[in-house]
Amino acid sequence: MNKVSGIRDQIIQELPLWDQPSISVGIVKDGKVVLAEGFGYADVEKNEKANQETMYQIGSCSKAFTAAAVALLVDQGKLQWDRPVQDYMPWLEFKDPFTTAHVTVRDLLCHRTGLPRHDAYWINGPWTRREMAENLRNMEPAWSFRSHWCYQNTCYVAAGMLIEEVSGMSWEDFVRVNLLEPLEMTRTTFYVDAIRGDENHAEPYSRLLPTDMKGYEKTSFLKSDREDMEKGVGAPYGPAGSIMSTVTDMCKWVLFNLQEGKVGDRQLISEENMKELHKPQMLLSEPLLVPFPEQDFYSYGLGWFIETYRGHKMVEHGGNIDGFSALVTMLPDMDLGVVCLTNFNNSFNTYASTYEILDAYLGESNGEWHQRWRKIIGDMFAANPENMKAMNGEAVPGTTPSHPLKDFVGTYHNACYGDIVISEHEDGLHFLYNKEESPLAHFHYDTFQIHNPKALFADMNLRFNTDRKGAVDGIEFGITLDPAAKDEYFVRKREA
Amino acid sequence: MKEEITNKLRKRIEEQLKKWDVPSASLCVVKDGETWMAEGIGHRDLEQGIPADQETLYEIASCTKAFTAAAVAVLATEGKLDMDKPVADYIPSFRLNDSYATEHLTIRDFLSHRSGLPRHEYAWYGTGFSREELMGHLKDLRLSAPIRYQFQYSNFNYLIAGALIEATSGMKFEDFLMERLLLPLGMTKSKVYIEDIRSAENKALPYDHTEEYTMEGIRRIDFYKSPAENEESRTGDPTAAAGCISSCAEDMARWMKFSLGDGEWEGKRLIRPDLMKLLFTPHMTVSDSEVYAPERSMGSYALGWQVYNYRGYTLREHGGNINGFTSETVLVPELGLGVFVSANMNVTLLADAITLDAVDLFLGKEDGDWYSRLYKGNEEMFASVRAFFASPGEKAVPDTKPSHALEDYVGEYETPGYRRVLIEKTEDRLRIDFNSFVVGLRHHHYDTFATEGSIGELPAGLLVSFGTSPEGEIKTVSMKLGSEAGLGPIVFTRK
Repeated sequence: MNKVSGIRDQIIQELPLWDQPSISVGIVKDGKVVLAEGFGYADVEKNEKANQETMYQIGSCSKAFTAAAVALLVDQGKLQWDRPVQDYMPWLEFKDPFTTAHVTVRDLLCHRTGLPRHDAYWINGPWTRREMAENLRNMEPAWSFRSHWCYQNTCYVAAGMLIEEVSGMSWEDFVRVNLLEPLEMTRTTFYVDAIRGDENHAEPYSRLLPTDMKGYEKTSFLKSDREDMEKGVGAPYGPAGSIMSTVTDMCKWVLFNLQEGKVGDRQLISEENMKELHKPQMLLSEPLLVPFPEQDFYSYGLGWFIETYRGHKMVEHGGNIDGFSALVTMLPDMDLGVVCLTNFNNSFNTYASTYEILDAYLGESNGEWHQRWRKIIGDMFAANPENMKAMNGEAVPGTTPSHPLKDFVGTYHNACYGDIVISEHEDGLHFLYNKEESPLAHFHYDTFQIHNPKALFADMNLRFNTDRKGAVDGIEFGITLDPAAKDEYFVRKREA
Repeated sequence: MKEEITNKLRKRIEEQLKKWDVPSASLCVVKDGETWMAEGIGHRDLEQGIPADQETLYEIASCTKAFTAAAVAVLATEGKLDMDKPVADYIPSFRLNDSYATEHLTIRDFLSHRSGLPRHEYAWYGTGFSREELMGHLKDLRLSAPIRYQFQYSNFNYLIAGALIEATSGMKFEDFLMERLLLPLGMTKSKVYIEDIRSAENKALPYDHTEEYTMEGIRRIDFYKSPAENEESRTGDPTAAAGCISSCAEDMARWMKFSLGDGEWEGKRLIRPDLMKLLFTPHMTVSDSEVYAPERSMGSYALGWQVYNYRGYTLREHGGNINGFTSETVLVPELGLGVFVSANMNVTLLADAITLDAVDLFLGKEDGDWYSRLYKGNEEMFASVRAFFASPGEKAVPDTKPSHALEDYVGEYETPGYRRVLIEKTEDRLRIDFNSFVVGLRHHHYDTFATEGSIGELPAGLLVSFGTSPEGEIKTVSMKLGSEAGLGPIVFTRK
């Protein structure tokens, strides 16, 4: 077909301009898969090309599976959207007791509990799935209950726990048996060891520095110490983002969603509850990334974002996890779905390629999405130092720390985030959190800056406080990574 | 282009007024900061054959809500209130029927209709309760949804906004609206007291079709006036903040130009740009009638405005209905376009149809067919209302009779937050006296009766059910006075 060959040509032409290893693309139109193909390299070093069966991590595109699993349990009468989660899982607690008592299944799936992201604790953290859900009780809300939308991974982990509690199966087994198997998604899995062990898998890549526009290197898979494929224990954060799949399989998933819960003639999930997943539940006050004139209306359904694109309802969700990014998009009124999988951190080629494909089917061709997206990212990266400066403020010149460096050495604890370890080395103080160690540069007074461009907390400031006797006794740090949230306090652990 | 569009639109409206049996429409169109049209079409006074013009006053009813939200934003701009602080911080006596809601709900929650308060329409409509009394009744009015969970349109939300404006400005709501918003915008013809439109010379008179909930014929009806309103003491309508404004095409052109901007008017900043943006930021999703699909989608409510996607453009609008008037304000910011229509006709989708047709003219679209689509939609809407109320007889259990002698039902019944219900007997029939409406009751089945005339917008056929005490005495009367799922019938107990 002419349209598809035009789309293919463009993807092939643009991939080198993105300077990324690969993109696998699937298109579903009017009930048929019209494209499922890999472009570029699954493994650059080994010269292995990506194809339609290459496995990628899909990250947060997994959330739609979690929400669909809940919909299935609602169909079965085991859960109700509007009942408090506490009715099913009495141990689940939030810091705000009203939230604990009233948060419903629906609330959990549409990011409106009032919590900011609170993500840093679980990335490379030691937590089990249950411990992650239990950690909700330690999380400081940033907004009044249900007043504000904010993406919240731990609430999806709690939703996964809910599935486990009422079904008596692990989240992985429930999703596999009830969704993947009926949909014949045979090359879809939950385990990093499974993808690494598969002959046809994409290796993760990322830029050398997060704000580079060119160049890349192989990086490592995000793997939790808790994951144990042999024992069937998946990543603790699984329900929020641990699925790995191929474009072939993901096209089946998109078809299933476009057909409102049908696999062939079988209604797997009721149309009514599929509609709940795909309808706006909670509005965003701002677009998640950047505003475009082609887009309007920003909302979250259950496991999906709901927007408009050139006047059409668009149901989509992106995913990003170390070395991979993905995007699944549907225009239901066009019976059109697009899947883009990449083995690249924060690819954005996913968005550009998707919008170009949508335009091809909408008969629009003035999008110039590839150039536009590259410019957007360039501008975003360019603004980064300024943003950091605005957050950190100007360093007051000529100040020194109030104590000798050795006095800052110690372990500092926060109920939600665990431990920060400060140590002293030849080049000064070091900051260690969840396995990531970075040198600290003195900023001013007792404030230090994380001096590691690759770190999660690159260029962020932390402040030491002293107790009334003058001893260094705590750290204030914006570890939530959300400007709307208050800095978290870490209290120094005292030796017994 | 300008001439072509305005001539086309004018001609279509003239035709459609006849087709819809609507006496007149006030119309204004603003485009890129310029007034393209501001005029009256048809007759403001049908009996005397007086044509409407650009200064003819129409009641814009709930289009007022956008003004109320803007007034709140004016106060937030001045630092007199924070839109994210609980209302109870500013009104110490403020009590809702739920303590958490009382302590936490902010003005944004009320302005976006997500407080959980249902309409409770007949707790204010026609009761004669004053603004202060209504605010005091809130503690007794049940919420019917968890907070911030569902969009539930309620005039009480705006009553609260009005009270907040009074508490934080130290001015009467009407005075604040007039002095701090309407007059600075040069809306000098507009009125905020019902008495001022009634006594105005150049005003449209309110009309309805010959029969309630039908679309043919025209008859004069009365202006809505709350028994609590008092012209001598300049006591306004208790729910003024939900719908008190009367305006004309010329003034509404100013309002739309202001609303399409960033909060500045003639060099003066009235509202901070970020607060201006907030007024139009979708807060709650709203389900839309099928009749607008597929062109209009993604319904949501912002603060005093509804926001939709219309043919790929952001469309902001709000309608207004009050006895004898139907209004519609529409803004399409990407086109720099604003359209306002008010018709002096009770509940008609014509105002909606005109605004959408006008937007289509600017978009160069001719396939909307809004007049016939919405005419049909209007007929269907009325048919379903008539079917719901007029035929309860079909659902009546046959061959039953009341358990007591009619005298036993007579008495005064009450429930907190509402006005009392009087059941009286005249000759051999019962009648109900509620909120200044007195209508006859006919037996439906068992101890349930049906109204024979309308109570406000509840047409004849409303079921009135009596219950007995353990001793066998007629003890309660209950009526389903609203459509909110979570509310159920309101039960009044014998005094």
